[in-house]
Amino acid sequence: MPKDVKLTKDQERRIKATLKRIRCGLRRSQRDQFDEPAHLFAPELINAKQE
Amino acid sequence: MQNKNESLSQQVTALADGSHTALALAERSLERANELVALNAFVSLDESIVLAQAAAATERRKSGNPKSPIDGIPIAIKDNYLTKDYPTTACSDATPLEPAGIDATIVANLRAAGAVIFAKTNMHEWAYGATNSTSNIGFTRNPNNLGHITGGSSGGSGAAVAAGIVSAALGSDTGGSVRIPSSACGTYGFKPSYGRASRHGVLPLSWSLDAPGPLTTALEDIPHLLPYFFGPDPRDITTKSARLYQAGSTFERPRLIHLTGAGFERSDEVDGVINSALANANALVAAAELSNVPTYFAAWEAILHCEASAYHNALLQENAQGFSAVTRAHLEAGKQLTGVELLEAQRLRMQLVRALFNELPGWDALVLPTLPVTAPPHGEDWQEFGGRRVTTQDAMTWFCWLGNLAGLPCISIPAGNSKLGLPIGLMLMGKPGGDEDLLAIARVIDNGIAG
Repeated sequence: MPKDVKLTKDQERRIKATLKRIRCGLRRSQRDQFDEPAHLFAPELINAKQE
Repeated sequence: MQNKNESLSQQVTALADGSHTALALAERSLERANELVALNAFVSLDESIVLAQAAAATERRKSGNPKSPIDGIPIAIKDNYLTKDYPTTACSDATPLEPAGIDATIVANLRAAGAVIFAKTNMHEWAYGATNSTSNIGFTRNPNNLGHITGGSSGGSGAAVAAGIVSAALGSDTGGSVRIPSSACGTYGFKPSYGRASRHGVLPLSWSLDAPGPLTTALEDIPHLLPYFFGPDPRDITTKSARLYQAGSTFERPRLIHLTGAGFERSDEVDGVINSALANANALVAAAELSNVPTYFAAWEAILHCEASAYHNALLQENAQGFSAVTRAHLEAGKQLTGVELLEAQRLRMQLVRALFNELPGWDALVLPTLPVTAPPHGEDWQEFGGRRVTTQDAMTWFCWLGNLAGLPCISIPAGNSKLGLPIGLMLMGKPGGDEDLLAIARVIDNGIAG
C-alpha cells in the first residue's frame, strides 16, 4: 500500500473547517500573565526503583 | 430509573444465594446476543471462551470459593481495551488484528475477581467520534429503536447493556464516550475523575482526556465495579496518588448548579425531562451560566486532536488508508496545530477549572442533560435545538467534553423518555477525586426520578 496517500477534497475541507473553528475559539481567550498551561511534570513518579 | 433488565447487583445476590449459576447466566447472555445480532453490538464473541470461564466460576461457587461477589458475572469489554483472549481492533483497519496477549489493568482486575470476560464491543473507530456510525464492522443500532444511533464511542457497550445481553460493560470516555451511549440507550454510565482509574492497556485517544468507565443497568451496579477501576497502577503514572474505592458516602441535600445559557442549549423536550427530574429531587438546585464556553470547547478540541495525532503519527505515515476518511482528516488537522496553540489550549484548561471552582456559587455537583437531543436517526447529519444548528457529532459531545477538560468525575443516569420512547439522560459532574460523593448525589437524584 502506498505510504503517501493524497487527501481527498472532502478531507481537506474538513481539516480547514476544524482548524478554523479551533483557532477562532482559541483567539477569543482572555490572557492573564500569571496563567500557566496545565503542565504538571513530576519526574519522581517515573523512578520505579524509588532510589 | 432502572430499566427492566436484570442488574448486576441482582445477579450478585442471585449467585450468592444459589438461585443463579454462572453457567446459566453466561448461557442466557449468549442466547440474548444471538437473538439480537441486529444491534451489531459485538466485534468478537467466542462461545467456548465464555462458557469455559463460566464453568470455572460455577465450580468455584460450588466449592464455596468464589473469588469475589462478581465471580461469574458476564461483562462486555469495549474493543479498545487489550484482552489476552480476544483481538483488540478499536474497530479500525489501521490496527493489527492479532490478540494482544495481555489484559488492560482493569480487565485483569475483573478477570482476577472471576468476572466472565464476555465479548469485545463495537465502537466508533479509535473512539474518535461520538455517534458510533464509523466502525469497520458497521454501525451499532439502538435497542430502543433500531432506526436510531446508539451514540458513541462506546456504542456497542451501551447497546449490549440496554438490551439486557449483559448487565454491565466497559467503555472509555474522552469527550463523553461512556455517558453519550448511556444516555442514548438508557443505561447508567460513569466516568471516573482523571487519574483515579488506570488507563494502562486501553488504547489511547487523548492521554490527558481519556478515562475508562463502566456502563451498567442500575446505579447500584457501579459500586460493585469501581473497586476494579480505582487505585494506583505503576503502569499509569497518573494514578500514582489514586485512592482505592471507599464505600459509604452519603448526601442529605446536595447543592446542584444547573448550567444554562450560551453553549448549554438543549431541546425543549430534553429540558422538560431534566427540570422535572430536578424538581423531584431532594436537592438545592440553582441555575448559573458559565462564560466563554465556545473558547473552552476549542481548547478541548485542540488538545484532543493534537494528542490523537501524536499517538497515531507513525501509524498514519505507515497506513493512512487504514483509517476511515473522517478519522484521517481529524488526525491531519491535529498535525497542523502548532505547539503554541496547544499550550494556549492547556492554559484555557486551567482557566476553566478555576472558573468552575471559583466563579460559580458553591456546589456539590454540576448538572446538565447528558445530550441536548434524543438519539438521532441513522444518517441524520445535523441537529437543531435551542436555536442552534450543529452536526450530530457536536450535538453528542455538546455537554460532555467539559468533564474531560476539567478532569471531573461524571455520571449519566436515565431521567425519562421522549414522546417517541427514546431515553433522556441527566448528567452530574462532581469534584475531582470525589467519585464516591458523586455516586451518593446520583443516588439522591435517582431516588427522586424513581419517585
